[in-house]
Amino acid sequence: MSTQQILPELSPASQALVAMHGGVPSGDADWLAALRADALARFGQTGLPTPKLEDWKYTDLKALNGANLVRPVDAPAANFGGQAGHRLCFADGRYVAAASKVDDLPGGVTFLSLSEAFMDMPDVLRSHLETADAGALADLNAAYLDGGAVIIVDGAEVTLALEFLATGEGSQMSAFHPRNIVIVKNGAQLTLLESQGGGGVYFANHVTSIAVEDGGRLNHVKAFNHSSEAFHTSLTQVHIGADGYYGSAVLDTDGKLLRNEIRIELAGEGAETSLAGAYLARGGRHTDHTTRIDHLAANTTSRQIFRGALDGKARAVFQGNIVVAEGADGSDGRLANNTIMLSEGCEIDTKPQLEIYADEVKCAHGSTVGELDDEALFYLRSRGVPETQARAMLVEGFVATVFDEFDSLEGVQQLRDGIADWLAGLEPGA
Amino acid sequence: MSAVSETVDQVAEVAEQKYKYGFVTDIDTETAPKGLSEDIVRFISAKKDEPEWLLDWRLKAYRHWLTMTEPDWAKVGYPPIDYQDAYYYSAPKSGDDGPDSLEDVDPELLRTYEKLGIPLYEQEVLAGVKNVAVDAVFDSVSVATTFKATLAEHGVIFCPISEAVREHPELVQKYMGSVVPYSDNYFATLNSAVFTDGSFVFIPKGVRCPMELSTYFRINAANTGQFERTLIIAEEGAYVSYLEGCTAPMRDENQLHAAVVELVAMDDAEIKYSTVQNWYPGDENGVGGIYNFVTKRGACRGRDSKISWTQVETGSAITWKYPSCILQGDNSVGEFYSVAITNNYQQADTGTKMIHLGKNTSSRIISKGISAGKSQATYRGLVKMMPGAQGARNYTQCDSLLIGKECGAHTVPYIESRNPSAKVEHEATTSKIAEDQLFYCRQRGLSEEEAVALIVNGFCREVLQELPMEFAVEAQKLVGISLEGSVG
Repeated sequence: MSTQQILPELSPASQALVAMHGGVPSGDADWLAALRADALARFGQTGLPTPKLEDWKYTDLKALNGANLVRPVDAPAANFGGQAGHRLCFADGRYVAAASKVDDLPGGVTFLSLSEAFMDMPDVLRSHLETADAGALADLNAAYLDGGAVIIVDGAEVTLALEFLATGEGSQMSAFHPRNIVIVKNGAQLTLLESQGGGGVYFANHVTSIAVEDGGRLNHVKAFNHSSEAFHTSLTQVHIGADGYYGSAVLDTDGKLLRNEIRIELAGEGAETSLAGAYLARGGRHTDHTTRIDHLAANTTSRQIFRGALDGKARAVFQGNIVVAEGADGSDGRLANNTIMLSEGCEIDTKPQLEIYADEVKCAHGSTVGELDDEALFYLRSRGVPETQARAMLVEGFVATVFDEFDSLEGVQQLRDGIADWLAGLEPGA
Repeated sequence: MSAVSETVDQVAEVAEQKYKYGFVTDIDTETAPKGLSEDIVRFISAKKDEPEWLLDWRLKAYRHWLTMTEPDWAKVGYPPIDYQDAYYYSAPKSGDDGPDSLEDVDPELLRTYEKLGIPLYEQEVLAGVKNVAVDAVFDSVSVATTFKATLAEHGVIFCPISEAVREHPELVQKYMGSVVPYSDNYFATLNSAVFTDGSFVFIPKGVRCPMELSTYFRINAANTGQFERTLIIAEEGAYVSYLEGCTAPMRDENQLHAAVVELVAMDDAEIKYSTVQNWYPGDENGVGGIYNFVTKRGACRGRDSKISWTQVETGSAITWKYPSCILQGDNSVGEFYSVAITNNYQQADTGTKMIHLGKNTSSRIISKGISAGKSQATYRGLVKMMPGAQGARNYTQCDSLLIGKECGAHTVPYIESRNPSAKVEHEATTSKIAEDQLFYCRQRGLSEEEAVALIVNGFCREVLQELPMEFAVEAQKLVGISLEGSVG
């Protein structure tokens, strides 16, 4: 594989990301090699997204320019937390068979690493791996495709776990690009527990492609607990068929820069989605939650609630777009985004959007930004609750409600605990 | 039942007339050669007998404009504009530079304004009634300003901006470009280079302007761009209410209107700026119409100052306009009330920006968008709380109403807060007219069109009631007329 011609205007980080492609192991099937090459060529044209793009107006990856980007070493040692049950584990984006548990899978469940799937089911993967319209980071991901999970659930009801751990250390920033493919077939039900975290310096660029076919149900619980030096970008693309459902509960508490982007296509009549997210940020953290929901068919429903609290010099971005296509009558879209600012010096940029091309619709969004309610704080203090604890209680009450709808799921208690852990680190107010 | 009979009247009116301001006035005009160049900028400046500093400012703007590219972020689509294929100066021919009094004005012109519903004469004559002073701008020049004498008694200056440049150069030089700098954006920069006329208002300290001020803009000549510039200054404790109205003839080609409006409010001053924009929107097939690319911005410089924008946007093929407030003074207040109606192939991308700098500043945004036919309406707004905006407040409500299956309604609010004590609330909804409301009206004997006009007027009421009384009626009628043919 020859290194592509590097355009002079590419940023240093983009150039480094293109240049390291020389290290991709050969041995791919022809179609895969072509797919990687095409994706790399596209990335070579655009480079990493910049704030000049409307979708990236508030999030700037330029801090990557100063990093010493490298490809991760092949067999990193990692200590996985050990999710119970069936799980796939990845260290720096590479599959770790020893830590995974894939035996005794119920019938109708395919659960294997991407590298294995390349051999077993190339035809299934090809269409899911294509990134032509998904943006520069998805192209970058396709060019490398380090590892990831392939999950197909057919006629079963199952809970599966994915654990991604980064082991970065030293001054080098390892860049890896996991890809998951999830297919929930007619009427099947999947609960997918995904945790991402690690230590040290790294750039994790995840892409997950999900297809929920007619009548299928998928609940996706994600806990991001990245290293405070880490850059993390994540794109989840979901296609939902008639009467299908996709639910997502995300907690994000750490990582130097995080971007969690979810794009949903409600493609079949009666398809439904519900997204809940909580973001907590302190120090100089930057966190970005971006969603786009396309109501493409009649009588589709979407619900989104994202709440967060910011402390220190943290900055949060929320962008949520509800698009109702012509003919998608009976669409019902709701979005709420609420942020509490706990200190001077933090910043929130929020952009809830509606783009409506059909008239039989009910769509609404609401957004609020403010500080903790003085009276509520006073009430708690007057009853002897110390100030920091009172603030923590109020923030917890405010943020944790986003997960109420998902309470019956495994893994959601873990998200609630994550909120409490973050709040334990709350410093006294000014 | 007066609302209903009113609605019935306007629907009947609609049956006969579509765009009643679409006539052309046959009048002798003097135009500059077609195209845009430094020579044209110099020509305009010479025509207006302008001082050196203003010519320099225009040239600086023109040279800067050459380095800029046309913005493409708005949700509107139009073929590229050929800036060389338009006249940048067109004035009704008259013996002198401009008319000294109404007697000197071409009678044909006066009849035009009468047709538009602005009888300049009558207003001079009809004493005793609460009156409105009018500055009428025809293509590139101001043709008449009424009530100058009465206003002068109160120390209020209300005149064409070209006259202000001659009579009050120190004021113009001090404030022009201080809110919208010559390099602000593509269309504002173009305007800075070639602006021809507009209104100038100066309300001295402590004066409450005794009457509503109003400017009527009219594009008449073919292939002409209109680039007016309005500057309103309210000194400490002053108050003024200002209204602009706009119309243009029906023509098959698109005409460009790129205006700049600057407002400055000092301590305790209040400026209320209302717009009833009814430029020719193009025909039902989307042919012709005005491109309305306007930069409007107000600076609340003083403490406790207030600027309020109210707009009723029913015309123009394309509207691109974001009347904004820079809330610099502590406790200053910004308001934006908007009704934007699009029908047929109209496109509107409009909203506001509220930039909170001072302590305890507050802003309120109420936007009502109605889309019908094949039109697209977008609300685009920014609320920005800077670190110093301690205790600032914003409330935003954006509602969109869809009539028909082929139109679009979009909401793009940007909220940026960098102060924890600032509170921002934003709400937006999009829906169609509720079946039960329609059914209720139909059941009581209203036709579908009457019912829609009634419901839409109710939907817009919060904004319409902000208009000065004299214009609220006109605006209400416009709402009905604009939606003609959108149902049934």
